[in-house]
Amino acid sequence: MLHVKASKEMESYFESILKEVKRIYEIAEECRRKGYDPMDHVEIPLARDMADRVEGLVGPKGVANRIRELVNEYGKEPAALQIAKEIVEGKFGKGESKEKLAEQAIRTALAILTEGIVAAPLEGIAHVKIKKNKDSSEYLAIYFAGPIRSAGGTAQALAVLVGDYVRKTLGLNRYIPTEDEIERYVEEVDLYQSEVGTFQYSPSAEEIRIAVRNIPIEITGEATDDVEVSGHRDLERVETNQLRGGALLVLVEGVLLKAPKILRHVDKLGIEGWEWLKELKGKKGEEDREEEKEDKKAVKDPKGRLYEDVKIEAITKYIGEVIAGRPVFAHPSRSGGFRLRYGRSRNTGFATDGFHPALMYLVDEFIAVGTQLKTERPGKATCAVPVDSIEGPIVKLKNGDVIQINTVEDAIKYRDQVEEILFLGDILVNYGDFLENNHPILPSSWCEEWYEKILISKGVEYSEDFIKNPDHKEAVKFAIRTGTPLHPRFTYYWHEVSKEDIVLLRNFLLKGNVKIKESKDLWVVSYKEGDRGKRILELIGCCHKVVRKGGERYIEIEDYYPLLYSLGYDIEDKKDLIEDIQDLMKKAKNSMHLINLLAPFEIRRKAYVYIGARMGRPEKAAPRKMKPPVNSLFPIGNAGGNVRLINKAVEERNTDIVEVSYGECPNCGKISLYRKCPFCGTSVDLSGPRRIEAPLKEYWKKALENLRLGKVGDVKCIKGMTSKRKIVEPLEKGILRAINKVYVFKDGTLRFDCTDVPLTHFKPYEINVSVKKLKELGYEKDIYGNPLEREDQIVELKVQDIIIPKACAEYFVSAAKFIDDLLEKFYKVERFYNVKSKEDLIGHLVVGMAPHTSAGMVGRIIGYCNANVGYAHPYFHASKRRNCFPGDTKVLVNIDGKVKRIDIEELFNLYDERGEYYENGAYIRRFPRNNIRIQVYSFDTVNRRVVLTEIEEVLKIPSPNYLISINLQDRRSFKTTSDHPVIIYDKDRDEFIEKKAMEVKEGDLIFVPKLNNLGEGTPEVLKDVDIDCLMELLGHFLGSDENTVSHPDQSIKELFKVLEVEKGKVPSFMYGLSREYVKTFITTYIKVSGKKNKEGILLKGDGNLLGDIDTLLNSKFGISGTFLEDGKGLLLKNEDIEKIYNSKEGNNFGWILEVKSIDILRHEGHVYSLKARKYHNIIVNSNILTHQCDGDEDSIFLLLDAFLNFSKVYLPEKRGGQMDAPLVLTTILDPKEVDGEVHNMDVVWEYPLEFYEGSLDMPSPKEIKDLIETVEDRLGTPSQYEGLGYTHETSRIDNGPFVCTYKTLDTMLEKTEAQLKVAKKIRATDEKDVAEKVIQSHFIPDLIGNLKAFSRQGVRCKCGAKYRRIPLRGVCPKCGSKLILTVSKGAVEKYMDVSQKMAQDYNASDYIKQRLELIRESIDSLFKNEKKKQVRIDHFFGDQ
Amino acid sequence: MLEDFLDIEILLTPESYRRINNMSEKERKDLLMKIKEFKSKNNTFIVLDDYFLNIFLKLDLENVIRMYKNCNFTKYYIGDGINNKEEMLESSTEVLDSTPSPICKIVDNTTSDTTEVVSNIAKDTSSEVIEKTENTLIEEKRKKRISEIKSIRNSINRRINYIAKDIESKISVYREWDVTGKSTCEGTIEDFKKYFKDRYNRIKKMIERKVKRKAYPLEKLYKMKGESDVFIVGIVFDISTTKNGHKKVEIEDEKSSFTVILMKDKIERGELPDDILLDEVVGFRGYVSNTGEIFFANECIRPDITPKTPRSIDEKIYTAFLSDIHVGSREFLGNVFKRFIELLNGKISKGIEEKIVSRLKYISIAGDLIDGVGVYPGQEEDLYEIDIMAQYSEIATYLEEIPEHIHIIISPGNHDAVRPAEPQPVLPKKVLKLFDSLDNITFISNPGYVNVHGLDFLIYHGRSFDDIVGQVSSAKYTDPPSIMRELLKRRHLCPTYGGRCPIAPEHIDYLVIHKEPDIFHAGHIHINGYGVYKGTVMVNSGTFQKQTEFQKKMGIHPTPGRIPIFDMSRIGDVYIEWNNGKITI
Repeated sequence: MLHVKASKEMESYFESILKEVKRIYEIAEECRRKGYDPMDHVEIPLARDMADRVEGLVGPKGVANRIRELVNEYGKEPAALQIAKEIVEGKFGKGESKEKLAEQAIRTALAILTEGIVAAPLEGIAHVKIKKNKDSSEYLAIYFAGPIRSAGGTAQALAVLVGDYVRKTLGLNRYIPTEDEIERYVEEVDLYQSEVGTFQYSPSAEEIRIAVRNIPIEITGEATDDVEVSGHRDLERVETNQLRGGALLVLVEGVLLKAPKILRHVDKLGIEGWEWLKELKGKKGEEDREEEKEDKKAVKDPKGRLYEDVKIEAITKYIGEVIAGRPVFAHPSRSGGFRLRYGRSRNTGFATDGFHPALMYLVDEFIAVGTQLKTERPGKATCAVPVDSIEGPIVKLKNGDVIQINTVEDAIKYRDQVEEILFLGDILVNYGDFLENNHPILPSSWCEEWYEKILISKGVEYSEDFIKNPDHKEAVKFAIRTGTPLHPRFTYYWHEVSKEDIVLLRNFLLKGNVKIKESKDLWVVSYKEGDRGKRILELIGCCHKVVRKGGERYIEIEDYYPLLYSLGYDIEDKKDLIEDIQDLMKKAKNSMHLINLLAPFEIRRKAYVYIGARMGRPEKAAPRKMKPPVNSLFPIGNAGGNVRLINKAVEERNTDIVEVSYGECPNCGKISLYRKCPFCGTSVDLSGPRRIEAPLKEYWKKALENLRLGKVGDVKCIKGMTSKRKIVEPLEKGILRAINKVYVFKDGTLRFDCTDVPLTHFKPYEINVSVKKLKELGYEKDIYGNPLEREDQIVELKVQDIIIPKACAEYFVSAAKFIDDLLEKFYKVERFYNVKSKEDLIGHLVVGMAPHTSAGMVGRIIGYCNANVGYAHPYFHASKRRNCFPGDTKVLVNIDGKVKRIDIEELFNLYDERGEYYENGAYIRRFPRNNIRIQVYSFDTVNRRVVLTEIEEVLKIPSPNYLISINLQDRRSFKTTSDHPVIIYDKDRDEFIEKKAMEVKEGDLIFVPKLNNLGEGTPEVLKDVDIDCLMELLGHFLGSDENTVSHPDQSIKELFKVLEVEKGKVPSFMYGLSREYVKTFITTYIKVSGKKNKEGILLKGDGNLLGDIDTLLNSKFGISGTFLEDGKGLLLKNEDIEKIYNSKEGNNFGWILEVKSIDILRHEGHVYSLKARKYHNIIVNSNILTHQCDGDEDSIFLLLDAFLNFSKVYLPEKRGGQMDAPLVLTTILDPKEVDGEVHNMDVVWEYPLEFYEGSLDMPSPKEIKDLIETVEDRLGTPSQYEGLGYTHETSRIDNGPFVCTYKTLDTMLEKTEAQLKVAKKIRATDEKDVAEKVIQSHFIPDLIGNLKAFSRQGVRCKCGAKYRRIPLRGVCPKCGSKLILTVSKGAVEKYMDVSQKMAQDYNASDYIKQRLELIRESIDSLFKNEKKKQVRIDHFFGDQ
Repeated sequence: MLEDFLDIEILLTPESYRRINNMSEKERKDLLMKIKEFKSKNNTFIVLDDYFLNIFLKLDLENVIRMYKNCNFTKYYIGDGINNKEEMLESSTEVLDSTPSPICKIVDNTTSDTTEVVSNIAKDTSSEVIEKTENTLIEEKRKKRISEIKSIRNSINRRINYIAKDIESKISVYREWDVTGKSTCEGTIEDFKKYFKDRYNRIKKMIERKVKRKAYPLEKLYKMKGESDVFIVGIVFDISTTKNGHKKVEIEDEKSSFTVILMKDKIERGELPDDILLDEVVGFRGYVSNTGEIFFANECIRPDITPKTPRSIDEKIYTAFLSDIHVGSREFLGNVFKRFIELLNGKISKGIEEKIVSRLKYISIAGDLIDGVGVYPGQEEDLYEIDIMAQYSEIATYLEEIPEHIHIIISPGNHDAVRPAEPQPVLPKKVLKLFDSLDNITFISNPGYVNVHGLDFLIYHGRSFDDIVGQVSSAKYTDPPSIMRELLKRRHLCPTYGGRCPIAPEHIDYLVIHKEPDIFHAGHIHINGYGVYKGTVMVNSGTFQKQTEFQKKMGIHPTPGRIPIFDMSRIGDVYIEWNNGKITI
């Protein structure tokens, strides 16, 4: 029995999927049982039901059964309350404190309410406290955190209700807020909306006050945004002065927004004390009604209203930032922008909107299928897909013709001739997106659907063809005869021109006459260049042709009947219907009114609102590769060179030490890395991880033999494992992957990432599937119930079926071959897929994963498409966020083999600025200057040791206003941005977890790793040098206050130069010296600069130097000192001193230091970050381990691959390592359990007349929800899966460009130029504004920043020395070389010419031009020698 | 000419006569035509005084007619003096149903008329037209402001006896210390080298002159092992504290560097300073250690100015000190500034005010005439006028309204349209053009040295104050002389390089205080203050900008609308201040 409601057919579909899942599962089980893998069974459990998930997610143990009982008996919500009560009463474990019980109860209840699929119950509630009122009675406070958002409004509100219930059960008093506390909420809600984001609902101050006064528990929480309130600060019971985002969300989007729902539950559940909600609701209702009344009063003549202008405020938020290279398609609400068309096509809905494919080509292919756009409304972002049954763009060609482009063919034919895109055409938005965003319904455009509804309502007979393909003469006659409005096709944008313009146009047109041309009758009017009449025709969107004959120009209008009749001229009888045009002019309130006074029929308003949009992110479809891409999770250390080729390692007889789990085979005595000895097949117990020399050759040979392969090509392996136990993947898998040219992801699977686009219906030919195949897959009928026979029939997509992009199909063909090879050659069972072509993939199952989740969903491939998107159920795209450090943070890096502690800013500057690009607000560089090799030290949390890893990119980001300084014991500290993840050591569980910097608390433990990996080796130059002596010398040199060596000896000076010895720094070669040598140095240093006190020895010196020494001591002796307050002293404890003298190494992997305090500091300028390959953490300042950030993507992979190759054992140990891994697999899609957003998608075949007429009143989408059926209305019924409707057809779902131009252009300059070219073409886009925004957000900050930096810059020497100003000597005091400026003239001027040219070309505002001019003058003033000029002239005159 | 006017029943007042007499033939004809036209609508006897002459000259005919076609001119002439005029204005207000000031009214009307037109157009036509009208709207507003300013002088009818009118202004600029037209910087490292060498040598000379002996070269200092009473001068390269709490100062000369130790106890006893700044040039007397590697300072010699009593001149004239006017900023206090100009034009109460105004001869302005553009990100939001030239023409118009006999000295600031790096040259030519009609203004660089009627003025905007406040604990924003004193002590206007104050590496260090000034005038921090240091009078003029959002956030409380005024014959003795309309002494 299935737990979802579905029709017989659907049930059999689900059953077939289940059956197939089981079959594959069994194959995998069989293979797994052979013992070659880390586990003998498939590691992805198939999820059962909600109760299981709840217990698994939040506990307590044993609650699942009780949940099942209660839910069956009472339903979900009462069950949640009851469970909460039982937990508090101690039914699931006593002995806990009241607070803990309350917390558990609320978490569990919330998990039940949210179906146990979101993280809200875990992470959305920080903790629960029992606090005291003024009268010292106790009350309950729930601390909400940001992730509570994922619970959704209703569940949030219910969590409060549960809290109240728990409070009562515990016998606590209610929360009595102080006036200050109440006002604090009011201030915060307001501040949140102005600084952070919008709520779905904006409550009045009074509503908030009523709510806070009455809610019986305290809704509070952690600071989520670094925005501070200005009033109501430092309240005793409110721990933070920052915004409490989670709490506000619960208050506003939960309690206030969902008040009616809570009331329902309160009544149903019989909870007391919430009557005030009725009052609140009543009040709201009253206000609304009053407003309504006023509205009604204002409306006198309903007919007249049709012509009235509607005021709709433009929303400019989406265009606040224009990214260089990503075009703006329409400015906010600008005339000629996207016309709002209501409806849904089979490939739109759910934050995906339809655009005319012709337009996609006309905007230079900057919109491809799946490109993300930022739109003005209703939501923030949308995915662009082609729909061709909506109005296409109207363009003016270079020859003056105005045509509407309705096909892709025309678009391609005309695109080079387009001079101006007058109208962008329609944007198809479904009602559900308005509902989802709670955006008021906007007045509908005048469209065929609406027209048809009117005809039907009036009982007028019409033909289908007349709606779709009207003849212009017939349309006029029809309108006059039936007394209905003019057909939308011939309704022009009259509201775009003035009354005067209409009269002018009328006079202009009436001068013309009918001419027959090639058996077609046309209206021909002569005109002159610059005639306003012609422009008016363009502005109203009336198509026409321009003909030049002799010196004359004529305008030819094909569909002239409606135009002339609209203007009050009866062409049939050649009679002017208007007697006194001036009188009508006066009478008319506006142009819409005037045209209706002129026309003998009703003319509706073509568009009430235009929607603006700009390009967001380009679409994506590519195999997931690790960086660098690898075939195998078999570690080979550094043996295979940089690319880690095991074949190369074997060839060169190389090997390396790796850290893995292994065991000795009890049978043959060989080292076995697998649980089954690869040599004799005996079971081996693995232990470790321990370090061992990798037996590469034996394993390689054995694997090849095993696979019966002779020679194979390159097989890329990994360097080391990041997992906890470091159990390796059988090498055979990697070899087979390499043969099939597929790559492995960290968890053992092979994945393909792509943008998801929703699709509800398809035509077989669109997705490259034969009818026969489809029938096999269970597709019997088309949407009309006709048997499936042809490839152009429309078929409804079954919910778990997906269509993959072609590139993915190709990748999966290889993936399937790999798996078959694996089955056949490794597991020695039958091949499974037997795929030869992309078509053969059809019918196979895959796993789909959304980012930041840990649950996969089974899907079935039923076809592939040419666009670079995957058609399936949509997932959420999480935006990336980057976090960083201030420029003076020291990072431990390795440059060309030399260990260095340098400022992160300096590191950034070591990268070539020529390759710099700008993305998401960050300047990113990828390539080091002069081909130096830069690596960074990371901590491998699994092996618990420091490793060297590549830097993928370095970033520079404008700083937020505040940074957080985390100060540890021993006076180590670092600064970072507030939401930067920090690695915290969890003592109880002995593991590393991540926390946001702002969430770090005093007492948290932070890790200082032992740096036992800084390399080894004595430099060549020291071959003949007495190193001990040198060490002594260095100890003296660095330890003393003197600036030079006491006895300046030329040879030593030379040596120092070569070794890069300089004051205040431990030269990098020393990190590689042996412990004995370093001991000499340290002991000397101690002698020179140490001071004994009772705790140990205090080393004095410059902070930087001591940092270096600390690093040295750490790496050589495992000693971690204590820094003095000012950083200018380092205390070594007696026992540590002993370690030095005895050359003993500490036996730990690092030190755990407690966080002593956290400071918030103001900061200006930039912050920096870098991406460390694989380990994503770096070692900063005094060797503190911190995290660096990364992002995730959506992906799909083959089901059998997941079952066979996925293992939790491979997953990185760090928190978040489990993210994006298929820890659970959902086999049957229950719409109830998916993201709530999709519940708002509408599923009707047509919108009713009431909707169109009602839209003019601009109701809230909820008010008219009854008119349109959405997914939500079908939940829990069989129709949730079938018979979903859509309103607009599209001929092909992939009818558009496949690759966004943004991806095909290389340099920022090219992109910017292309962006401006598009802007220039579109009437609705202000290219000037685009240019200005790019200049202002991109170029000017760069210019100004560099200009300022120039006049305060320091200098550097090629020897690496850096000075804050040039020494008076003018040369490097250390090496005597010439010094170099850090900010050159060229760097300052870089964008000067470009931006001025751009400002000129696009006529940027005077303000910007002036700014640039001022900058130019400042630059000239700095870099032009005025005296030189003068002197020359003087000289010249002097000679005379 | 008189007859032409009499013919159309117009009487001219003497002033009007004089002005019309100065007009060209064409101008006069136009005026006559205009008045004739007007008289066709309101044919009363008109006495054309200054006020109405302005109206006819500045407004177009339509407006004059609309405004004054029902005006009872006779009633206006019956009374005399200001009061009557005001009454008249009131009456005309009645008639015309308008705002108090007739000029305002006129202009208001024109703009609101155009606004109406604009909105009509906007309603019916496409956006193309709207943009244009927006521009004209801005233009109208601009014109309105300018015409309001232009009416300041004429709004005051009172004539006072300007004693200063008969005193010739004596201004001479020290051109050798003015960077204008002499910038040598090319952006190379050589420039930086030369710059710091020049700084070092100039100040070194001052110190040497002070102690009357040559500094010992650092390079050979090791030879003085164990010697006491050695004198050295260096530019500070690095400062640190030793483990024992002594100050370790690394100084350099052109060849070498040396470590100087300032013993903790000496600093505590006040024998040695604890406020040595990076990059300041400083001298030490002391002894060289036996190793020849360390110098122990006994005395620290700064190039400090020589104590004296403040210098005055014999003539009793006054100078007013202004800065940071910030025209263009939404926070600009136009009304207060206007009141000050009205004061200069004679809108005064008898007694002390009259005494001062009649003898006020000079105005010194230490930068930030305007708010500028692009000084900080997002500044456009804070401006009512985003065109920098329009900002300048507005301040120029203000200055035009100052009586011609008062001489004005203008130095730029960080908001002005010159390079941000100091020294800043005088305002660029195209800006100066706006002041062409005025010959009572002297433009100088920042910093600028000028001798005013016998007294040496050092005018420096004060950008480096932000740095000093962070470095010297006794220097406080709330007490500007506490900051200015530190600069005089070091004889340098921006001792530390690399801070917030950008420095252009010129080959001459114009920021050195070359000459001991009698008056040191600064601005920038918007807080006024007054003090005397070793005979140099320090004055920081306030501002005409209200507290800005930024200042609010930073907790800075400016003192807008306060103007220090000095009696040049009693320098350092009396301090007069015009505080938002009131004189305090």
